[in-house]
Amino acid sequence: MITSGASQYAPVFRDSCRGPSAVFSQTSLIDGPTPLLISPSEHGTIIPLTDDHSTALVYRAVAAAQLIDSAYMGRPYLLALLTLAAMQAQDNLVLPANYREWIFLSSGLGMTYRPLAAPDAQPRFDNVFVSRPAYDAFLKSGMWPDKTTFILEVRAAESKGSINNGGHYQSEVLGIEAEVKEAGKWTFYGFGSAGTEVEPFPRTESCYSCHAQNGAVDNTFVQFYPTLLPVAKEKGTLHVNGAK
Amino acid sequence: MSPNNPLYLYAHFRDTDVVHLRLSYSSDRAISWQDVNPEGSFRAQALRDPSIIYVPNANPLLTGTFYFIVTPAVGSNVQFFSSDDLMNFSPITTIDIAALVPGATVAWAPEWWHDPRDGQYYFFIAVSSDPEGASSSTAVMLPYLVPFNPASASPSGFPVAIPLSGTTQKRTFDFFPYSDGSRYYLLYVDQQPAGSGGNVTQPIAFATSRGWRVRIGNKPWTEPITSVWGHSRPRRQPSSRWEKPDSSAWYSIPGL
Repeated sequence: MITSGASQYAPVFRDSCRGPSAVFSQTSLIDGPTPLLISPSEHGTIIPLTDDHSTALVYRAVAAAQLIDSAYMGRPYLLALLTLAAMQAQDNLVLPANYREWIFLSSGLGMTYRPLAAPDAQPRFDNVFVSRPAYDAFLKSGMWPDKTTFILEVRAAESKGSINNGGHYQSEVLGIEAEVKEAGKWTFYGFGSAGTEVEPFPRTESCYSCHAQNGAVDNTFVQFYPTLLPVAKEKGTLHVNGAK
Repeated sequence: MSPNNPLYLYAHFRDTDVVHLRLSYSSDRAISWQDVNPEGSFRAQALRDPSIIYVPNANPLLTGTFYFIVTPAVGSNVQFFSSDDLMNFSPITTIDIAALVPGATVAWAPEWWHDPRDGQYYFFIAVSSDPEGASSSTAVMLPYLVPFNPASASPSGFPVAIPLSGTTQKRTFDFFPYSDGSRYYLLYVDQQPAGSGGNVTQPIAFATSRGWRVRIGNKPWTEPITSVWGHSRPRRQPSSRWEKPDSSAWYSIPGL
């Protein structure tokens, strides 16, 4: 069998009928078959996994098996335990690697929702992205469907560099947060500086109550997204408080 | 991992250990492999010809689900399992192909297929209506395509017979689909009758199609697909070089 769902990749061929198996890549076929270095086996399927989620599941299962095995066989139990713990720390949540290819909604500079005593000397940029299926659904209905995911990317602002003589431009990422709608309920997630570890914010965090009270549409700050605000008005989904 | 450097996951079984689902993985372009669990990943009463597919979660922040489809025993049943972690496996349903294809006595080697063009999930399967079933080495086996939604664990349409234009259509099985984006390929075993020495040869052939479509809905199972698959005749000599396949080419893996 060859790889399933791998339309854009080089196919991997396998003798599907009898073991021991032989796997051939398109390249190796030119130079002659390359034997599959695996114990004799029969009919099966090879699939390519290209995203962080699925590959993490594989490695986590491997670590779990090693943990069980090493507990009985006296192998490095601690190493397997640490590996598993590190993988479980991801808690099934991974920052989408391509979020910058999502729909860009808006940028804010130095925005804050708290009382401000004085202008921030070092304001930050906030870039907001939303998943494309959610965006498409919003254009049709003015509402966010389940599975809607927002990414808030916070970047430092610079003013002195290159030929710039005024204003600010964006530089390194300072933090990333996500807001996800599931079963009608919104959850906020914060990513570490590396952007790979993620944990949901506790429900007691102020972001939950602030968004609920001030979100122009369904817990979200559509009032700050200039291309979506007219849509919400047209569809009649603008929340009164958020519209103020 | 990336589209150009994927992690390969291999679901298989061993003929001396047919009750275990085996999972192996490779991070070096399918050259060397390691078991996910050397003890076997999943034990079932009978489990052969496992086909695996990963269905991503609609929420990009959440992990998806692996679905397995297997041949549980000689007969017309196919069985489905799912796993969210490759450590725990849950049976989700068993489908009797005879209920979908009247007269079917044998269903072999289901194979998942996710069509990138329409986003639908299917499985290919070899079906025989020979009354002697698998006990007959000459039983005619033909390909069918079954629209199937893994998430709801139910067919999403009626099976359609795949007409392999030009083949003998006598005993074809172990179907495997592939698409390079512009053309569909269907690889399969084209089993030939026993020769003078009594040996059955099992060349691997493939058919191609530039376009095909399955009508999903409440249609008779005999609803024809809109385009047939062009089957090409076997080469007399096995090829030692990869040749770009087309409707008139044929590829045979040496040594089969």
